[in-house]
Amino acid sequence: MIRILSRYAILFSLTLLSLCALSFSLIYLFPAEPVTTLTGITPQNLMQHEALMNQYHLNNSIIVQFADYLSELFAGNWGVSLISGQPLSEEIMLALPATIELSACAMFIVIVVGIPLGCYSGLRAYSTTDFTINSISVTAYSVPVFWLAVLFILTFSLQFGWLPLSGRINLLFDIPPKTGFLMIDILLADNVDRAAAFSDALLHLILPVLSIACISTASMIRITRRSIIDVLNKPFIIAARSKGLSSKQIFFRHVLRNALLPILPLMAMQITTLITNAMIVETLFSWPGIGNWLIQAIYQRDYSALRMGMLAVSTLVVMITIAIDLFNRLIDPSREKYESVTI
Amino acid sequence: MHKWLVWPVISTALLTLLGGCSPQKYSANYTNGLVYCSESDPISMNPQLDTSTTTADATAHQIYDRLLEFDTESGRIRPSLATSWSVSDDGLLYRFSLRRDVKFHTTDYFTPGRPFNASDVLFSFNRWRLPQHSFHNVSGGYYPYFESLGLADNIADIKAVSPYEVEISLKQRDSSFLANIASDFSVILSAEYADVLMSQGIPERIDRLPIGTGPYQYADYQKNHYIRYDVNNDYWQGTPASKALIFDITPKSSLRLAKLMTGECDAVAFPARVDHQIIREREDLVLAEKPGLNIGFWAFNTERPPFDNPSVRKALAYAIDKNTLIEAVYFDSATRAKSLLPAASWAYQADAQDTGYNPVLARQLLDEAGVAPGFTMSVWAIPVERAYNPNAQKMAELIQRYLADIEVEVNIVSYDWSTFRRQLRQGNHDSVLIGWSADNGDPDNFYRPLLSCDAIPSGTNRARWCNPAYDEILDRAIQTEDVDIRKALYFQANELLFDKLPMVPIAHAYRYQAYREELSGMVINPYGGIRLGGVTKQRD
Amino acid sequence: MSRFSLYDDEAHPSPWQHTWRAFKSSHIALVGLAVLLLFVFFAFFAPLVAPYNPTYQNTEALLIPPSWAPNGSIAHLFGTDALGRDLFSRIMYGCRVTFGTSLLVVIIAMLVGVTIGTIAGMLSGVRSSVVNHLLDALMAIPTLLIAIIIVGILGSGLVNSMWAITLALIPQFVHHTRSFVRGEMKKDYIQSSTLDGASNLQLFYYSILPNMIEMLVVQGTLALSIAVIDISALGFLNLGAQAPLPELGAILATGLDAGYLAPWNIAIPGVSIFLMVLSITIVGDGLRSALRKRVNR
Repeated sequence: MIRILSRYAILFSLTLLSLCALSFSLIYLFPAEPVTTLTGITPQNLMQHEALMNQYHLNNSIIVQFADYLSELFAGNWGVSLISGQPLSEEIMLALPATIELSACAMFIVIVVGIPLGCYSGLRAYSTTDFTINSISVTAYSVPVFWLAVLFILTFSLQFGWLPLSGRINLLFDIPPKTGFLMIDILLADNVDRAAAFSDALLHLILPVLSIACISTASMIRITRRSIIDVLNKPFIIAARSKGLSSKQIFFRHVLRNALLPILPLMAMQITTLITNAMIVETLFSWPGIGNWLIQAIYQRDYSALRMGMLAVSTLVVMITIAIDLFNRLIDPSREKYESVTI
Repeated sequence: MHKWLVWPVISTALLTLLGGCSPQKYSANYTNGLVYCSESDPISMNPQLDTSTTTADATAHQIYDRLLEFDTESGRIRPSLATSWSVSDDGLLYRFSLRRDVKFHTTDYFTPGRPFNASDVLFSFNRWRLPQHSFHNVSGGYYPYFESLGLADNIADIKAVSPYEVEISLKQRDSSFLANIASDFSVILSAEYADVLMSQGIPERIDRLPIGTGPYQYADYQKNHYIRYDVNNDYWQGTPASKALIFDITPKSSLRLAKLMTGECDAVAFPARVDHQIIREREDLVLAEKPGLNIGFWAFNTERPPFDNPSVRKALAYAIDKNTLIEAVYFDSATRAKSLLPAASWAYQADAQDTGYNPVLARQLLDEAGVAPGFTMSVWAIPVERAYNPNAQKMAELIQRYLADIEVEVNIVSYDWSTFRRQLRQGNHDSVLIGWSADNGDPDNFYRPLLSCDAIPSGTNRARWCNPAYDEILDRAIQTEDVDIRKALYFQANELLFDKLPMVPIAHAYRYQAYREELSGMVINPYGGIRLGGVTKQRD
Repeated sequence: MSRFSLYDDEAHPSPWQHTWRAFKSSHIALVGLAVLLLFVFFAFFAPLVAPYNPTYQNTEALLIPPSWAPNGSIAHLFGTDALGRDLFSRIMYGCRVTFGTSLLVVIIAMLVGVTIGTIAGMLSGVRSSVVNHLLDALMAIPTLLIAIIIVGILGSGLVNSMWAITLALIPQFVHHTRSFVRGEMKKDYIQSSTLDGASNLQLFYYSILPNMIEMLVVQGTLALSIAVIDISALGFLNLGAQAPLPELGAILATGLDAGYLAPWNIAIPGVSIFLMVLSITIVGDGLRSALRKRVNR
C-alpha cells in the first residue's frame, strides 16, 4: 500500500516537474522577449531590461534559471499579466474555482444520470429501450458543444426568457469573491439576501452545466452500456445465475462492480473532454472561469498569462487524473482490465 | 409485481409536474439597481486623461461634477458646482461663485474632512495647466482634450478670491471658454484626497480609486468584467433613486442586445444598426434616437485645380442626390445636412440654403468652367465605421454612379486608417468623404477646426480652404457673448459657405440609445457621456 | 478428398467481406455511410459543384433567408450571410475544409502514433514504462489547452490548429497500438515467426499489421469524430481557420453576430457539423459491431 502511494507520489512529482519544465520552455518559445513572458512587465528602457534580467537570473545558465523559476512558483510570485498589470496569482485564483464549480456540477450530473441510464440500457441490451437510449446518446454525443450552447441560449434565454445567459450571478448582488467558489462566497457575504442570491446563482448555473453535461452524459451512457454488456457475457455471471441468485443480487453484487471498474480510467479522459467543453462554453456564457480567461489571453497575446494559465490548468487536470488512477489501483490491483475496454 | 405499471405511472407523474408548473420568466429585479452594458474598459477613472467615449461614459457624469453643465435639451450652459458666473467686459476675466455644502464621496479608502471649496477647483485646473504642478506628471502627464485646445496657454492665472469664489483670467478673449468648462473633461477632483495620497506616496491612486462629487461613487472594478458603483447618499442634487450602478463590460454588440432582451442589462451602449429593427419591434425595449452633434461631408481639396473654382465645386454638388445617399448608407438614422451645424446646436439655421439634385445644371456649370467630359477625379473614402458615416465606401460608389451620369470619372481611394489619415494631412486627395463629431456644444467647435486657415497645418481642415473673410466672421463671433449676435454671424458664415462650397454637407447622424421600457429618465446627451444619475427603474 | 469442385464453388469470403456483410445488415449504419460518402464527395468536389465562390460578397443580397422560407429565393439555396455570401457554397467549402483537415490530421496522427506505439510495444522494460507515463500525462492535457499553447507560439491559422489536434490525438493511437502489440507479442504465432528468424520489422509488417488494421479502423473513426469536433471548435473560437477561409465552426461564429435576425446562419452550419460527426459515429459503431460479430462467430 505504502509502495503504491509512494510510487504515485513520485509519478505525480515527476509529471509536475515536466509540466513546469514545459511552462519554463514557453518563456523562450513564445514570440516575445523572455523577460516579458516571465514577468509580464515590458521593459521601457535598457536599464530596466538589465535590472529585470538580473533579478530573474536570466543571464545565468539554464539550470539556475529553472531552479529560480521553480522557487518563484512555489513562493507564489507568478508574475503579472501583460495586459491588465494585475498579479497573475490573483486572477488565476479567482478564475479557477469558477471552472471547477462548473465542471463539478456537470460531472455530478454525468455520474448521477449517465451511469444508471447506461446500466439500464446495458441490462436490456438490444431491446427497444436500449435502442432508444442508445440512439439518443449517439445523437447527443455528436452535437458540437458550442452549437448546443447557442441553441440553448436562443431557446431558453431569448425565446422563452426563462434563464439568464451571462455570468455566474446577477451583478447587482455584491458578493465579494473571497474563495472564488460562489456558493461558499454567498454564505460568507453579509448584507445580502442569501436565498435570493442562491436561487439566482443556480439559475445562472443551469444552462452552461446542461450544455456540458449533455455530451459527457451521452458518452458515459455509451461506455457504461458497453461495459455492462461485456460483463454480462462473462462466464461467472452465468455461474451466478445457475447458482440461483436473483437478478437484483447478480446486478449489485457482481455486475456493477466489475462493470464500473474498467470505466474508471476512461473517466480520466472524460474529465479532460469535460474541461475542454467547459472552457469553450465559458466564452459563450461569459462565465468568468479559466477557459474564458485563457481565451481572452490568447486573443490579446498575453504571454505571461498564457504560460501561467497553462501550468495551472494542466496541474489541475493531472492531479485529478492521477487521483483517479491511484483510486483505481488501490481498488483493483490487476492491470489487464483497462487495457481491453472500448466503447 | 405489476412491472408494466411502472412506466405509465412515472410518465403521468412527470407530465403533470411539467404541465402544472410553468416556468417563471427570469427577472433580474432583486435589488434596486441599474445595470448598464458598456462596450469596453475605460482607460482610467479620470476623464481628464483621455478623450475616448468609453472613459467619459464610465466616469464623467457618474463619479464627477463640473463647474458648469450643458442642458441636454436646449444646449445652454447651466450652473452645476458653480452657482453663478460673470464675465468682465473685455472678456478676459471670469468669476465663478461656488456652491456650498457639496460633499465629496465617503468610501472605504477616503473620508473627506471638508466640503467642496475653491482649492479643489484650483487643484483640478492647475493639475493639467501647470507643468510644474506636483500632480501634473502623475499617471502619464498627458491631458489630450486641454492640450488640443491650447487652453493652458490661454489661461493667464487662476486664483481663489475667497473659499467660494474663483477667478480665471485669460490672455485673449474666447467665447467658447465656458463651453470647454462645461465639457465632460473638466471634472473637479478633491484636493484634500490628492494631499493625502501625496503624503502616503501613492499619488497615482487618484486616477484609479477616484473621489468626486457625483451621484455615484467608485466601489470596485474588475477589468474586462464590470465596474461597480455605490450610491452617493450625500449627493448635492439629492440621492439618486437607483441604489447601485453596474457597468457590465460586454464588447460584443450581439451579446449586449441579447442581454438587453433577457433583462440582464437595463440599458446598452452603441446598439448596432442591424439590431435597431429588432429593438423597435419589441414592446419591452425602447430605442431612443436624437440628432447627434456631428456632420458627415464631402470635402474638395481647394488647393488643387479645378477644385479651386467654386462653380466646379457647386456643379459636383448638384450632380449628387443627397437623399439617396442618406437612405442607402444611413438607413433612416440621419437627417439631411444643409449647413455645418446640426439641429441640436443652438446656432442651427433651419432655413439655410442647400444644393439640390440637378444633373443638367451640373453638366452646364462644368462646361462653363471648362471641365471637359471624361474628367477624372479621386474620392477618398474612410475605411472605418463612424457615427457620421457608417459606410463611406458605399457612399463613394454611389457618388461614382452619379458623377458617371454627368461624364465625370471617379477613382475610389482608401488605405488603412492610419495611412489614410497621414496621406490626407499631406493633401494628396482630390476630395474626401469624412466627418466631424463635436466635443462641446459651442458652434465654434464646428466652424473653426473644419474650415479656418489655422486648421490647415493641424490637419482638420480637409478642404484646405483658407478664406480671410470667413476667419474674420469666426473671430468676431467668439469675441461676443451675445447669443443672438453670434447666431447672426454664423448665419453669415453659412451664406459664405454656400456661395463658395468648399465642402458639401451630407448628413447629421442620429445617436441611439437602447434600454428597457421600465427605465425612466434616460436622456441622450449629445454633448458628452451618458448620465445615469437621474435614471429610475420601475419595479413591479 | 480435394475441395476443388467445378460445379459447386463454395464461396469463402475474406474477412473484409464478412465485415461488410455484417455492416450491411444494419440499416442505420448504411444510412450513416451514405451521409458520410456525401461529405467525402463535398470534400473532394466542392470547387466543381458549388454554385458561387464562397468569398464573393454580394452587397445587394444581404441576409436572404433560405429557399424554403417565404422571402427566400432558389438562387441561394440556404440563404446568404451578413456580407452577402451564399451559405450553400460556404457550407460545401466548409465541409471540404473541416472534413478534409480532420482526415489529414487523423492520418498523420495514425502514422506517427502507430510507429511510436509499435516501438514501445516491442521494447520492454523501463523505457516503455516511461513512454507510457509520459503519454498518459500528455493525454491528460485538454486539447484546447494544447491548441492555445501552439497558437500562442506559432500564431493562429488552420495549419497550426492542425498541429495541435494531431498532438492531441497521437497519444490515443500510441496507447492502443502499444497494448495491442504487447498482447500480440505473447501469442504463439508471433513466437513461431520469431523462432523462424524474423526480425522485428518483418514481424510487424507481415504478422502484426494485418491483424491490427481492424483495430486501427475503429480507432480511426473515433479519432475522426473527435478531430472534426475539435477543428470546428477551434475555428469557432477564431484560433483555427481565419476569415475568410470557410470552415464550419468559423462560419457558425460569424453567423452568431446577426444570429437573432438570421437564425439560419447558426442552424445550418451547426446541423452540418452535427451530421458529419453523427455519420462518422454511426459508421464507427456499425464497424465495431460488425467486427465483433465476425470475431464472435
